[in-house]
Amino acid sequence: MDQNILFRNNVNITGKGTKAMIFASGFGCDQNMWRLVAPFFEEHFRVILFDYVGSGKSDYNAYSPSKYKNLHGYAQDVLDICAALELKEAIFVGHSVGSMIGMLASIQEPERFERLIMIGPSPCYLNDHPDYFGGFEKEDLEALIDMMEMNYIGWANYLSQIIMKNAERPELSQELEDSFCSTDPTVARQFAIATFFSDNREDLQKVTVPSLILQCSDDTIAPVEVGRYMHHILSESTYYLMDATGHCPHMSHPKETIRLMGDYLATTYEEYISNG
Amino acid sequence: MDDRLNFAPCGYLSLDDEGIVLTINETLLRLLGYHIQEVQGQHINIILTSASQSFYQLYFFPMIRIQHKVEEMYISLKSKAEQDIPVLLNALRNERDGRMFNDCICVPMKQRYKYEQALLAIKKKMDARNQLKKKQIAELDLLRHELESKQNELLELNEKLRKLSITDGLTGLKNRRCLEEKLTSHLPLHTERTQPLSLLLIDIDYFKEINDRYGHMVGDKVLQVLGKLLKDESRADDIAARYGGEEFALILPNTAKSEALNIAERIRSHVENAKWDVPHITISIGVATSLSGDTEHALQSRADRALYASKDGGRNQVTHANVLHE
Repeated sequence: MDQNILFRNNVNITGKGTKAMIFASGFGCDQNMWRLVAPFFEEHFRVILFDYVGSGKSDYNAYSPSKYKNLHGYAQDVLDICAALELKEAIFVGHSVGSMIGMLASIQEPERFERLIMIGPSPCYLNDHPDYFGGFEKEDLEALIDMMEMNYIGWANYLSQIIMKNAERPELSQELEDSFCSTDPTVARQFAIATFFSDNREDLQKVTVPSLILQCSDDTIAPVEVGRYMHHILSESTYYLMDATGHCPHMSHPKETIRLMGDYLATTYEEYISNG
Repeated sequence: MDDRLNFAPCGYLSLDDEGIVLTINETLLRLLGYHIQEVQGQHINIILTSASQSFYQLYFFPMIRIQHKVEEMYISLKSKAEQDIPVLLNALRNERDGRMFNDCICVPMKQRYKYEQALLAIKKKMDARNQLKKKQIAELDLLRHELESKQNELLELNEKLRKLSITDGLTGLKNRRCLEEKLTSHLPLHTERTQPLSLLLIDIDYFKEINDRYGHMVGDKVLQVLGKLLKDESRADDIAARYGGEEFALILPNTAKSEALNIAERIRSHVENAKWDVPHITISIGVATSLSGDTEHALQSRADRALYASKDGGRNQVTHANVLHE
């Protein structure tokens, strides 16, 4: 087992089952986001949590601007973890951009995945008039990225690096370590651009792994039209419009999220959750 | 609501987990230009700019759920008149009577916002400048590499030209120009050190007849074979050259008359006994050895006279200039 990868991506494995369930968080967040949902599946599955390089408690030294300039670099992280753990036919659960990252990984190495569960996915955030409604105009996304820039708590750290001309990345302060969001302004900005300016609509047709799309009502990040579009293009996809509103049903409505995921898995994995 | 909170010098609002505004104070309502009925019970989105709506979903909500607090978050509110109002926001997740409330306070940051915008603008400018610099350095590097490789090509080409300019194309020996240069440079060194230098002039006998009878292709072949033979006979410091036509020359540095005659005789004999494509190839050789105060011209003409003596004497023989009567 490649311990370097497990360290790099802060991989944590729990659960009593043998069937692997790998959870990928959305933009700028870490594995903590799953804490209201993932524990439920520990009874029947092998639950794998991780952080993207540049997020959470990952190894920031492993960050490379060229590798992570688009989502393929993050998909490679997922494949690296699958290889390190020798995963085959795993269930991939992704939130938001995490589901796109998993989807790209599944196109590259389909044998690693048996099911994709996508929560609030979007293949393209930008509107492409008149055929595609992603929910955002370019100016909206730029304003969002500007707002992120104004909010990095890593700013002081970042500025001191520039002023001190210190090439070595100083140890992250406790404050930064406690935070679950991307804390490095350059990393976060690049991830934001990779996320919000990506267009993976062409890739949808290449997906062979069956999927579940959980679409929230009233989601400003991934509107209902986007979920329907994905369902329309993705072969073997199942689509649920949730009662949950917002973009993070796994936090705002964990019960509904767990129920829908459980129902979907029950149809395929009866042997795993017959008593659950 | 307590008047002290209602009119506190900061905005206050409380949200449920769906993002619905449960309470909002007068200070914030005035800042936004709303009446309480217009906001209470509505989703917070109605007082957020488009970017803030996304930001709320991406950051505020996960943070308040996971960390139960949000500190120093910059976010932009939208007034009823559609004006952006940048605020700094703190929030705490509190439980009251078994219900969860996400309590927020916010203060406008107009001046600070301008200041931070200016800082960001400078940072962006610097980033753009750094990018440009990096790009320019990369371009310069590329140009430097191109220049270096062009220079190397040029050096190689020059070397090739230099070799071509001193080489006889047919035989691969040095050409006459090179031979004369070598004589010019070698001769003074030898006479200064009173060391002898000998020069052999070699001419193929009846070469015109070979050309006439067998054709120029065969004639050229004879020249090439003789060239190779001369090269093989040369010692390390000897210089073999094609003098022109069927005439060859051999500079023998540090070589006195008797040794030069031996070498000449050996070559003559090799040629006579070698297997040729045509019958009876022989050569005549004229030898001259340097004298004190000699010039290359004088040396050459003495060797030339010796060569003619060999021809006159019946060809296929070696003559040293010293035996000729002046």
